[in-house]
Amino acid sequence: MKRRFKELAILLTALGIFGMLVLVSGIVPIKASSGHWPITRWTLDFASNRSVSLHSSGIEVPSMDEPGIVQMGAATFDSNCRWCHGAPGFTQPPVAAQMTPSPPDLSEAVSLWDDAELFYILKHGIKFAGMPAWPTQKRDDEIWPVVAFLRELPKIDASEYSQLVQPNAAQNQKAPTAIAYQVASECTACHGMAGGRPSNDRVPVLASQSRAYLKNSLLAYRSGRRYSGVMTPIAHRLTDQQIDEIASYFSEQPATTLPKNSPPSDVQRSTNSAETGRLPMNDLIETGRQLAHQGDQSAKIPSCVDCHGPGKMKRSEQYPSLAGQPARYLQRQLELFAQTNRGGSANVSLMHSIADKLNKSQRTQLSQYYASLSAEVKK
Amino acid sequence: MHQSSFQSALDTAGKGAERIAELFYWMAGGATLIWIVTMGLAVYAILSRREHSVRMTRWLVIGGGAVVPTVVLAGLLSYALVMLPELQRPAPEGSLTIEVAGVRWWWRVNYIDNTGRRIPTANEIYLPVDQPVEFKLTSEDVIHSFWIPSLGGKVDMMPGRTNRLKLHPTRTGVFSGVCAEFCGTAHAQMRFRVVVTDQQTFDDWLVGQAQELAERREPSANTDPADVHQSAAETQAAIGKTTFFSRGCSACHAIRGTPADGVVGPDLTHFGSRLSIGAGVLDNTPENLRLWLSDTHRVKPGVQMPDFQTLRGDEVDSLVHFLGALK
Repeated sequence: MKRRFKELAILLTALGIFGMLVLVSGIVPIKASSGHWPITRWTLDFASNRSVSLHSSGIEVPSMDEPGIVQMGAATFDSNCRWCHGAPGFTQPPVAAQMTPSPPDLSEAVSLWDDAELFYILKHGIKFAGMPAWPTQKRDDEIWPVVAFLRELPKIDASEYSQLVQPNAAQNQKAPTAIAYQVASECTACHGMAGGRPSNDRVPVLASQSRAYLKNSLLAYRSGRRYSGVMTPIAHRLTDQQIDEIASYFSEQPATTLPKNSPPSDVQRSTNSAETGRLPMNDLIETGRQLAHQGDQSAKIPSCVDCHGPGKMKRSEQYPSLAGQPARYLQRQLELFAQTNRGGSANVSLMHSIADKLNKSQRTQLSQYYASLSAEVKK
Repeated sequence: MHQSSFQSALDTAGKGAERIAELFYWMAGGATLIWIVTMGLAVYAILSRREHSVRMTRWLVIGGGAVVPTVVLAGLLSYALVMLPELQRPAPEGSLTIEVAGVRWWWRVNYIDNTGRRIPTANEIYLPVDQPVEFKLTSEDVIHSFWIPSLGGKVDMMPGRTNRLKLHPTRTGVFSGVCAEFCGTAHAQMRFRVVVTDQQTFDDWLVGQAQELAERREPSANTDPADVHQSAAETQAAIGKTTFFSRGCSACHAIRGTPADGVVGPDLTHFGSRLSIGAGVLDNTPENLRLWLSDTHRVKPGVQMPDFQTLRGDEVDSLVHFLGALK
């Protein structure tokens, strides 16, 4: 018995020394050019699939049945993913194709995963495979539109894809200035033509917004102080001058007033949903109006209008005007503030303690109130 | 004006505090007497080698152990109980009534004038000397305790309940008030100033507090001949007023006579006349106000007022002028 132990110990030590020699000598090739052995490939894939499957269990998949969500996902995909995976009408870029493993063609690969697994991969990336994590871990809400898009991807052809990510390509060619062209080709898919009518309620209206606020927001996105896996990569590609020009451009665009008979789609939908509680929409807006204008002394909630309008009082350019923003966007921002997951310019701390005091129904009321207003006309 | 350099329940300036101090001295005296006798007997017991008669020791045990403490403590208790009715008795009908609410971490004060109108202020209480005053005390969040050591006893402030307290200042001066119930991060910086003055000064002060911001301070776009003589400070104050509104200060603070009607933070209508900043934390000087506005959370960690880190130096300066001029 004792002898057996001794032999085993000698064997293990010898193996250890051999392993060290292999490591230190550098004899194992790390090169990507030769690809993996089939056995290595299979083992890594298998391990990775098992891990994704296990860790994605328990992720709750939200409803992705909302207008414009696929377009928003497509635009995000076009900005973040196309560079390695290609897209309909864009073959895989040759540099990315030489990675080991090579990034898969997603039109085929998405069918291997369910929604929760796609979300997990998009959020966390895959180690050793070159798949990066989402640029921030605080914005799960940005990832679901990409999941919604990926589900549709196998059915999308090149012209449909270009229609999604460049909805106004023909008009864009006629843009009068360089910055107008850049905005038209890079911002329109989500924020709408000239930032006036977003393609989805999750996206803010930019037209007519305060210039200083837009500039500070882009700077905050670029530096990572405002958290977004969508906007940070976009802002990162912008120079200081471009940020200045884009902020000026949007601030000068006229706000589109929504026709009276068609309220924003999310207003319509939430009329029937549980999130509005028992209050009919008009009461909801009225309650929101009171809270926005008067605050709530017992809950220590200051009034919103002193910083965010509406009103005639001159307000700091650093504070965004909220009238006419989509309710879903506003509500999401308030939730993010309360969780301190929004980030932003140096002013962001002003909102943390306020949002923290708002309960869910107050967030809904305020969002619906501001969404019900038409954007303020600037003097 | 005499300003107490320290706050002490023994540095009395009110009837309640005087009675309590008196009680304290008697109790301290009684306790000292008992201590001396007890220690004397203990020392005697150690040193004495003589035998004692059983009878005498029995007397000592019963007398010293039961009779004397009962008599002394009963005496002190009766003395204290006799004080209670007067301390508890409400101020006579028609006395000055002041509502004070504890709010983390400051004091909302409302004077009720003869017509029943509320005159709001914050973190500072003026009282006329030699007059009984009725306080109505409550809290807007957690339990606080209202205590002006030099004037009288402390009373808890409970959310959803109004407690009362009568104070009767007996000499003029500036005294310190504190929160005496731990209420969170900035509890130790939840203080206020109490100014006891003669009746005339008090009346003038209250009339002043009732006034709204005078219209003449309105910055005017019209070229009024008087504006030509506007001093630099007034120009600064006018700019400060614009800053006050554009930065959203009015969401929390009220300045009566202007659109500022915030209720979450202290009323600032007569901020410039107050002795302290931040609920008794700093003396109200321009330098301290500048410090408060530019580094709020370092001055008073935990304070609910947000840190306005993006205020530029010139904006802070103009606010200091504007707020300082709110006399």
